Amino acid sequence: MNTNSAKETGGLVAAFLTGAWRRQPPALDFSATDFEKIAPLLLQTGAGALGWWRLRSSKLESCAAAEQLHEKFRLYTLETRLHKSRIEEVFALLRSRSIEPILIKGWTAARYYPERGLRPYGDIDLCVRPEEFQSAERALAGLDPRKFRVDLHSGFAKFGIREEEKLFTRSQLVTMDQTGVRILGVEDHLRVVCFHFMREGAWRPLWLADVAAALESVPQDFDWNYCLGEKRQAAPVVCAIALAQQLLGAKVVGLPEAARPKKTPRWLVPTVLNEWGSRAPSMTSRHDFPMSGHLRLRKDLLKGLQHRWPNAIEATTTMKGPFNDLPRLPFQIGNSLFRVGTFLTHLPKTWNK
Amino acid sequence: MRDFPSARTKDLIIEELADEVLVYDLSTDKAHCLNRMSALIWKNCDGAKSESELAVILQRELGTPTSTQVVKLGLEELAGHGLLQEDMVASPGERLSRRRLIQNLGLSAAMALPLIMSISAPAAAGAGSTTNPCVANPRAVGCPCISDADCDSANCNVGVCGPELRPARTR
Repeated sequence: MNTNSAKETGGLVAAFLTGAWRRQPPALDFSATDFEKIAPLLLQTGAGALGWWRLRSSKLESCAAAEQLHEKFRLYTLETRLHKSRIEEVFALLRSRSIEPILIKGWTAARYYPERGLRPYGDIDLCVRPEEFQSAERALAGLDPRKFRVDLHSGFAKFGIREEEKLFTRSQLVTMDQTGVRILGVEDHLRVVCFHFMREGAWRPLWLADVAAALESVPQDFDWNYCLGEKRQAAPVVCAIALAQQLLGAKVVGLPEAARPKKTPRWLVPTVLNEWGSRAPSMTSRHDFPMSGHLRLRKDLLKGLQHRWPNAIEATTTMKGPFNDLPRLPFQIGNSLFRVGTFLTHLPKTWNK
Repeated sequence: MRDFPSARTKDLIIEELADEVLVYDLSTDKAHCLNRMSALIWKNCDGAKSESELAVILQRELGTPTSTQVVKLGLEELAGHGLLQEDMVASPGERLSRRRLIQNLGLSAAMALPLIMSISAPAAAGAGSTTNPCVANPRAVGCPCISDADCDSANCNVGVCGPELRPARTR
């Protein structure tokens, strides 16, 4: 698929998912041909159930691909039950070691959707205080990795947040099924889902739907000043909010001036659409085949490097660059060099295994 | 088939949706989707109701005449998917054919027949940052690994699943 056609397809994905996270999504005016074109992309990126929610009661419901999306909804509904009990187990385990983790993304993002099966989650993303990281890691080591996919984070630096104690103070305890689990306050949640979407190169439409769903649920007393933080830190969050509005039609009441970009960089929307319309987004290929595998097998080395070239959004976010119209190449080079450095640092460890 | 069928309840995760019931069987790692008719039959299999009593209940709940043949088909479907107590399975001679039942009842009634669909088992790729198909064990070539047991090829080499190694030829 060439870039233009990928962007066009990405545009179809955006149009299809507009308002999909709402209890009553807007009326759908979409041709069956276009739907059949994007259905595999929705399935591949975890937006299958959300796609089904969007097309329910429309003329597309009878399309063959619609049944596949419906099946994803059923599957995710069941998975939710399994995952919830696992999350509770993990919390109980860490609490038995006097560690209070904070659950982020996954279930906490799914809470904003009208039905449980609309937003799948596989990993259990937990953040603990940096000083508790090692003991948490030791505690979790005993879990069966086939059942528990725990992604443990040391603090919140990875999500662009430095003032961690404040974040722990603002966290809240919510009841899952039987246990109370600690999650972020609403402002921090929005900040994290926005930053995560941008840092991962915006390749997954579902993550922008997370942003949109959270945005449309902000309470009246939402503290925008706290959510946005200082200017440089706010830039990716502001851009993600703008994208949710522009591409998915998110409606936000009382959005302050500071949360609106003065001018959206010209590369922003095309980069997102290009990712959404691509049959093999670079980020998935990166995860599916680690660089050490390319090196060891000497197979598709060039392709491996190509997949590791960051897009403009990932590069700018990770390098804390300004979101303006200037060329992105310096940030892309900077990001690549940084990742090469990290890879080389970890290589002896991987080698010894 | 026993006269008073009884539903299995152990090791099952049940999710009731608006017009269907989802069941995940923890003992077999299989997931099923029961349509409204199947779900109604299953819910009422308490070991105390006969097939004809079940037919009366269905008739009352659905507002349409329901024959014991339909109930029988539903019970067979449930038994076939392991959702009834083990001794509920019909002998081959007793089995009803869905096709024959459709011929008897007419095509329009076929839409309302009990139906159980198998759905792909949970634990498929979710929305995590790692959409990794490498999470399933054993893993494919190129996936990260710790020991040989993690790899489909039984060859974990420097942290990555390598291709299968042929055993050295003995002279």
